[in-house]
Amino acid sequence: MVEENQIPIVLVIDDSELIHRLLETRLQGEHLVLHFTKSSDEGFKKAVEKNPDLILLDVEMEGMDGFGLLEKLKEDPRTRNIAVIFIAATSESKDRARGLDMGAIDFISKPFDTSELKARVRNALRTQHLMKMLEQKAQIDALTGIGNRRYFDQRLIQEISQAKRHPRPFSLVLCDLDRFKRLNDRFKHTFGDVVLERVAQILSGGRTSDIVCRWGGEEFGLILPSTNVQQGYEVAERLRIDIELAVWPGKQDLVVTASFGICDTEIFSEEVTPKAMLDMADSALYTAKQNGRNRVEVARKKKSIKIPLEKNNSPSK
Amino acid sequence: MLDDDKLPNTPIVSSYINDDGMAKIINVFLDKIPKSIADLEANFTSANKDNFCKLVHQFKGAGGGYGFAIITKTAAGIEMKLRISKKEWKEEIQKNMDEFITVLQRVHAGRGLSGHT
Repeated sequence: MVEENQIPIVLVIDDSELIHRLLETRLQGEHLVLHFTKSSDEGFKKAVEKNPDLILLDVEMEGMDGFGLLEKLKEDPRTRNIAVIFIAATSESKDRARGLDMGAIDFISKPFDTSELKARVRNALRTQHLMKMLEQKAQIDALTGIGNRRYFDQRLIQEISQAKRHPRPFSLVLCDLDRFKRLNDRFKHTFGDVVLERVAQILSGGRTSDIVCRWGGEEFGLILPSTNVQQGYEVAERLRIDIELAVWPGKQDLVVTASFGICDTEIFSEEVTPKAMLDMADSALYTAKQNGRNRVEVARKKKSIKIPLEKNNSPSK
Repeated sequence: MLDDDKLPNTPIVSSYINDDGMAKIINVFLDKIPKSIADLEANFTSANKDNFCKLVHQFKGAGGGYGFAIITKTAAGIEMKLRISKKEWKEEIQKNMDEFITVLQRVHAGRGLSGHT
């Protein structure tokens, strides 16, 4: 998520060390961190690794040129949203038009005019910051302030991809408030909203590395990085107890409970997919509901219970 | 400021001579010039057009940034000719090459003058 005071990262991809030094000197004092590479291949790797806010990209380089690299950056979901400014010794308008059509946001001509260089870089970083904020807003649940379903789905894909590259398990937890409809009917929806907000706070109050999202109405999804199912069970159990013990304003006797279903990546002998993980965690959640609610259930390898799924594949309880 | 085109034998100093922040990297740039001249001449003599083009292109991009607009201008002239020339490219750019080497030598000769130490 975007932080207000985060220092922007700018990656320079240019085969000339003289240009590296020049940019370093000319951009000294700007609120940014610079990284440098001399080739497109190395530049692409660094773009994935550093996830910069802006790339200053040379057009003419040995091997893959700037246009080729821009195409590659725009094709890859990990680098697609990085702003790219071409720095080019060419002044030909067809090259500029080509670069802009391909997704570059600006062109800076070599040799640089320092004040123009700084202004264009600042402008690009400002726009990029606003874009990230907009994107972030689109991923936040308006009521609870935690990530929404869209954000959850994205992060789940990312975590699975990470887990494939660096083999380590992670756990997926689905949490559903028990008899929430009854609570809404009894205390009205405004109180239901208070419960959802408070539960979101409780779920987010665990480990900082955990990703907590509102998955649907009264359902929450948690991604627990580098966590196997035993550790995940302990996390979920603590959260379950915290929800059960929560005190509700003006309703001293009220007890709100939640059921949890959990699975981790180690349960899968075949390829792990978001759908497969969600189905597994959902099965476990269903079992928790069947077994009396207010409990945590772990997904087992071979489920004998067939889960009735709705058309949109959301859990049915 | 010197009118570089009209005083062919005089040293050339950077237009950023009074820019304190630039002094250090201008000297690095100037220190690299003798080797760059040798590389340019070697690639020209051996007719290694790709490497020669790359060196000229780098000077075109960097020269003006270090306060030597004449480097960018001269390199751009060579680059343009290289783009349209074919087999006899060496003959076609010989005059521009000589001019370019002279410019680089004059720039290097400016090291130590008026602030380049």
